[in-house]
Amino acid sequence: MYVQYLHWLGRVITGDFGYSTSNSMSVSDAILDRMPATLTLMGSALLVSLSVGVVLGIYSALKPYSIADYAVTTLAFFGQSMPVFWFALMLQLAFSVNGFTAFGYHFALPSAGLSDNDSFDLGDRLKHLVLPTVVLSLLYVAGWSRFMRSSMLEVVKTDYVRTASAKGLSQRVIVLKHALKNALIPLVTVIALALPDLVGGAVVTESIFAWPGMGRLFYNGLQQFDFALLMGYLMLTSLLVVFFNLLADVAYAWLDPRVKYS
Amino acid sequence: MATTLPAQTQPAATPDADFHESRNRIWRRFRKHRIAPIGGVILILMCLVAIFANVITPADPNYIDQAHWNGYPLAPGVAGHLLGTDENGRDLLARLIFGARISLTVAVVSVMLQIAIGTVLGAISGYYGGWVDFTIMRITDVVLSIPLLPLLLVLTAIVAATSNKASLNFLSIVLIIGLLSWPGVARIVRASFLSLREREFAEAARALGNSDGRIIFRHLLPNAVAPIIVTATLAVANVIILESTLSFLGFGIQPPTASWGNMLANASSNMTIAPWVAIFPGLCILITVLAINYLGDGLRDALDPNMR
Repeated sequence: MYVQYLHWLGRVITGDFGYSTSNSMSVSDAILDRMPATLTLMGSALLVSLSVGVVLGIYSALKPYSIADYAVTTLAFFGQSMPVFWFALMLQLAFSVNGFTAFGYHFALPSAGLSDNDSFDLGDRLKHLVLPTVVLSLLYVAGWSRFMRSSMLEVVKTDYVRTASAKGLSQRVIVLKHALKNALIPLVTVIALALPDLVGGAVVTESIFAWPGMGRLFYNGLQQFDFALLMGYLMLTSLLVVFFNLLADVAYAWLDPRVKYS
Repeated sequence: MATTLPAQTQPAATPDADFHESRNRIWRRFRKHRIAPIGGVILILMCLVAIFANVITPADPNYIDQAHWNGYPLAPGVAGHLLGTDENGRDLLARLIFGARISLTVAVVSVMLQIAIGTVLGAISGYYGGWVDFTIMRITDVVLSIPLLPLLLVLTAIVAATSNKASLNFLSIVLIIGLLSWPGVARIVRASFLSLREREFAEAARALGNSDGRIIFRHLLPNAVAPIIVTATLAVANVIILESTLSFLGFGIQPPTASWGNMLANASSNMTIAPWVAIFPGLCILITVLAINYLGDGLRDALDPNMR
C-alpha cells in the first residue's frame, strides 16, 4: 500500500493528481475548474469578517464593560457556538423559503447556486453571494471581534498611546492612527491559523447553498468515493494552508520590525 | 495527649488546609463569572437527560406513529407529540433526548481520547526537548496543516467504502475524531511542561533519583492540570459541532440512530412545511455548546487567571 502511495506522491510532484472518476476528467482540471467560485466565496467571507470583526472589536475595546461591549461578547459566544450548517438552514428558512416582510419591504434572497442565468449579471451574482458569505463569515466575525478586543485593550495600555493622548490628540486620531496599526499586527497570524477551518467551512457552506466551488466538488466526490479527487483536494488545500502560514510569518516580520528570524 | 491536639489542627499549617483554601478561591472566582455557573447547570441537566434517556422519553425514538402519520412531519402538539414528528413520523422529542445521549457520549469519549494522546505526547515533548520534541512537534504541525473537517470526511468515507455505511458507528466516529484532534492539546501541555521542568521541585524530584516517568506523571502533570481541564471543556464543545456536522453531511452517526446532526440532514427538504424539524435539533446543539463554552470561559478565569 505504501508503494502505491509513493507512486501517487511521485506523480503529484509532476502535477498529475490522477483521474477523477466522478467528473470524468483529471483531478487537477476538475479542481481548477471550480477554484474561482470558491476563491470568490472565501475572499468575500474574509473581507466581511475582517471588517465587521475589527470594527466590533475596536468598539467594544473602547468602551470596555459597557452594555455594547457585553452585547458584542455575547454575540461572539453565540456565533462560536452555532453549527455553521444550522445557521445556514435558519438563514435559508428566514430569507429564501418564504422571504419575509418587514418595514414595508419584502426581503428574499436566492438560496442556491451561483446565478439564475448563464449571462453575467453583477447584481444577480452578488445576490447569490450574500447568504453563503454571511454563513461562512459568522465564525470569524465572532472569533476576530473577541481577538481584536483583547489586542486593542493591550495596545491602549502602552506608553506610546499614553504619549499620544498627552499630546492632546483626540481619541479618534489616537485609535485610528496610533493604536490600530499595532493592534492589527497579531491578526495576521490569526487569519493564517483560521484558513484550515475556512476550507472546512466552505465544504459545508457550498454543499448547502449548491455553490459550484471546490467544497461542493469535494462533497460530491465523497458521496461517490472518488478517492483520487479527495486526495488531490486534501493535498492542494494543505499546501495552500502551509503557503499562507509562511506568508503570514513573513508579513509579521515585515509589519513588526521587533520580530527577527535568525 | 489532649493538650497536643490543638497545635496539630492549626489550619494554615497543614498543606491540606492550603489546598482547601485555594479551592475556595477557585470556586469564588468561578462564581464571579456570572454566566459560567448557569452553563454548568445546563450542562448537568443535559447530561442527566442523556443518562436517563430511556426513563424520561415520551416514546420510542425509532417508533413510527403509523396511526397519525400521513407522509409529512406532524406539527408540534399534534397527536400527543409535544414537539411534533420528523418526516418519518417519529417523535421529535424522543429523538432529541436520545440524540443528546449519542452526541454527548461521542464528544466526551473522543475528548478523553484526544486529551490522553495530547497529554502524553505534549508531556514527553516538553520534558525531554531536543530531537524528541522536534519530531513530535513536526508531526503536530503536519496534522494541523491539513484542514480537519475534510480530513475527517475522507477518513469516514474510507471506512464507509471499505465495508458499508452502517459500519460508521459510534466507535469508528469516536476513534476518527479522537485520533486526529490531539495536536492542540499536545501544544498546550508541551508549553506548560517547558516551564515546569525548570522549576525547583522538578529539580528536587530529579535529585532524589526519581525515574523520568514518575517525574512526568506524579510531579509535573498535576501542575499542568488547570490548562488541560480548560482545553478539554472547550474541546467537548468543538467535538459536538464536528460530530453534528459529519452526521449532517451523512458521514457521521448513521440513521436510524438519532444524533442531533443527522436529524437535520433531511430537515431542509421539508423546511417550508415543517420548520420545527430543522429548528429544534439545532437549538439543542446551540444551547449545549453555548453552555459548555461559557463554562470553559469561567473555568479559565477561575483556574488559570493568567491564561488570557
